[in-house]
Amino acid sequence: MTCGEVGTLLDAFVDTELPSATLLEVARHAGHCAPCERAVQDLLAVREAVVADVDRATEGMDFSGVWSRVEAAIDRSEGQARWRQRSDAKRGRLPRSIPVWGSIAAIAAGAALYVRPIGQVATTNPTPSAVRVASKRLPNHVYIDRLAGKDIALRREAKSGTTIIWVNHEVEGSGW
Amino acid sequence: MVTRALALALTASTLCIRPALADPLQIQVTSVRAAESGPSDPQLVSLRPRLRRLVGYRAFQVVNQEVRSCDWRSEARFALPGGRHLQLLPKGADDDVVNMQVRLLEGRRRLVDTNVRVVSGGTMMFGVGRDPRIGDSALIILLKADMK
Repeated sequence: MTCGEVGTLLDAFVDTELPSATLLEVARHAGHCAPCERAVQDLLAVREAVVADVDRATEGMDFSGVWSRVEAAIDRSEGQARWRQRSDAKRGRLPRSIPVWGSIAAIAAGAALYVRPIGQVATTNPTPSAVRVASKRLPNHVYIDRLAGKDIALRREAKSGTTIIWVNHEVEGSGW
Repeated sequence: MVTRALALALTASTLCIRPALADPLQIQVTSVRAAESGPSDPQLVSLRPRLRRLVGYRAFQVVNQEVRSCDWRSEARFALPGGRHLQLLPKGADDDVVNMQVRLLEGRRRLVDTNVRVVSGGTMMFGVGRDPRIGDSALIILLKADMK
């Protein structure tokens, strides 16, 4: 594998989205090629910085009041529609249908109002119970910085991040 | 006297800067025999679905387990079945991620030589498969590094 080929695969390599055989080829190349190794390290650093930023941002969000506000917005919207129906009935007009888009807009407005940093919520609710929705680092996630060996296959489970490095494994025969 | 004071200050500053490295690293190495059929070890019940997905075998038995405290920047060797060894060199830690060199050795031959960063308390695996000495089964090595 050449540096050029590795260059086109680096993003997918860092995100472990490549098939295990290709992943291994890139890792082997990077193990012997200083510029590619540097590129991998740089990308890993960027990736970690982004993950850390996203984690920090989402940890500061409070979703605890979203659904109660959404329900309140729906109630309010339905209440207004009922009032209009009664009012129309009194005046002898045909009742207007409840606008679906109005409910959707009310839901969106409710969600937008309450998906915001805890600091702002604290002014209206002194003890907000933050619900953490950020996806944390997988419990068994492994960063492989260098890998050397013969007849190696690499596999990672997406759910837990568990990684296995196989030796002497028949890649073709086992369907890996 | 001055030298002793300097040494003390240096030690103290090192401890302050890297509190995570003050305590030794707890390493657990578990050797598991994976086979196409047969009973599975009750100890591995919770791991079995994951092992099946990753490894492809269906039955898992613990062959050997060793838990040891390892010093940072100091090599540790764990014996594995079949005359193999897992050689570890914990290099450092960043937050809760342990940086270490791992070598899977068969005699003097390096089957795997890798530098990894694992989340503290997390488990990574090595597999040695299709080995005539262990018949139709494979050897799975579970490596867990814990800073707590």
